[in-house]
Amino acid sequence: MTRFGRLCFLSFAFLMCMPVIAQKKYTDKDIASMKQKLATSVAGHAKDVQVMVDQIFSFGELGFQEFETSAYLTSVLAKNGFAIEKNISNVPTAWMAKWGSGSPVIALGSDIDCIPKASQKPGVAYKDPIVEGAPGHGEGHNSGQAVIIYAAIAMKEMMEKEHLPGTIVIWPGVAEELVATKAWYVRDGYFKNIDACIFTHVSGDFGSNYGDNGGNGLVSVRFDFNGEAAHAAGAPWRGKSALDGVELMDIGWNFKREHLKPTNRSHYVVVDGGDQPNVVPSKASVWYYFRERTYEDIKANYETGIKISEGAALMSGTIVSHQILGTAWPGHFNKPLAEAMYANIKKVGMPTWDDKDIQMAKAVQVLVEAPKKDMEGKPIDGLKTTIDTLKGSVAFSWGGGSDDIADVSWAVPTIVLRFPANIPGTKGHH
Amino acid sequence: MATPIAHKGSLAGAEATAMTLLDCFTNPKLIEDAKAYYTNVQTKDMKYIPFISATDPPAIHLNKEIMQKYREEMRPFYYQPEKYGTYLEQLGVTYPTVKKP
Repeated sequence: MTRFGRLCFLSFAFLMCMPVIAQKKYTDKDIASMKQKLATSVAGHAKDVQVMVDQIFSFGELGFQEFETSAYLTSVLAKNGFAIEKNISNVPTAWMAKWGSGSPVIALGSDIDCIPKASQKPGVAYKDPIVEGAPGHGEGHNSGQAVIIYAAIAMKEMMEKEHLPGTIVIWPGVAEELVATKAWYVRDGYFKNIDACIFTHVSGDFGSNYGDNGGNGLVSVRFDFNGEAAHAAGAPWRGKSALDGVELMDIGWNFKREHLKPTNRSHYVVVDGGDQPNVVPSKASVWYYFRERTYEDIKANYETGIKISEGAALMSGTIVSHQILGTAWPGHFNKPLAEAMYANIKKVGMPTWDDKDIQMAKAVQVLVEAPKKDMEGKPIDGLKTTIDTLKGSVAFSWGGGSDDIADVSWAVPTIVLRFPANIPGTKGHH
Repeated sequence: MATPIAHKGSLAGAEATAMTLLDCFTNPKLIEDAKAYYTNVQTKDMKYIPFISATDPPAIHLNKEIMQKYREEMRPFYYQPEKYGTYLEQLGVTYPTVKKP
């Protein structure tokens, strides 16, 4: 081997060793001490967390309209060295922020949208809107980004100091209340090169489960009926009412309801019922959520819904079409990651609530007529002070809500951290 | 919610998240185990079939009109962290306010 050849070989051998050198082994004691440092570092961002939680609360933006929220968050992330890709999946308020290099690639996500007519002054137990009729964060999505961003910033500082390889990805759940983006991110390949995803969601408790959490998946579909306008008194026989189509569809579905499994949840709103009574409506639309526990049952109910819409169109002499607006699979969450998260939850422990916090929680619970016990029979009284056990797949569920994080859970190993920033026993959307 | 309950709970959540990130970045076995669970348990008998097609667009038109209706009314109430310690302070809310005046 020539001298040059030897040099090349040695350089190559050295480079081959690089990942081994970079992947330093840490003892349990090292990790415990590093976790302590991280907790101190995060606690040093207490003011930043408060500002971010309050700022997003005040923006109160509905799904797909989170322009102020996204501009604010991406500017904070850019200032902290994250590279931002905007407009992911052609959603103007969606983005992905990346920092670091190499693997593993860990994604952190949390929702950012709010709900209609929920404007509310914080810290007031009774209904007292900031702007009457305006949207607001009654669901608590204003707090999750602060959780992941300040966790990421603390971790980033440690990675820089320790020369730890890896990439942190931060992304927003846009329009979660419409379950309308995460399946699109997955479809468009945004989770392809990601090793694991930690998602966070506000809750009355502090925990993380694995397996099937008992929730439902869903499809969200709008049915558009097209008829023919006519003077509703002068020539009603010449009109074909699209509203009749909508009403007949709703009647059909409500008759079908008796023959659905008890785990079914389906609901609709009429988003367009015509303009005024003396004009036979030429256009009318109804928006359905079909929820069930399994993919097969969701699909079956969705297909039944389409058939009923076609029957209603036939009866009313109208034409119907449908468009999918959102979707979520039933979720399945990762066991090893949930176990790791749960061990850390126990290390952190519940926050220390003071008398004012407890007074606030109890007043809200009285006003919303919160049940005295939760679904597991545990009392609901003020704020939780203990951490629940780590739970696996439910043996049985009557069904329930949906979250499109489930679609991410089928793309990469995923967990949801439930963090205790909410009052237990509320109705979820108020 | 923009109350001390939300602030404290979010901070606790951030601490647990940061520690779990550390586990992911220092313990390669955790990621291996997570992937093994995903492959051998979660997706062993269940395959994800999306409900959306390759061409279904995201429904970005939703909520546009409602937001347009309220945004200008809401704007004066955006939190100004440079002027107020908390949003409660900006709105002049005594925490907690539990009874109607």
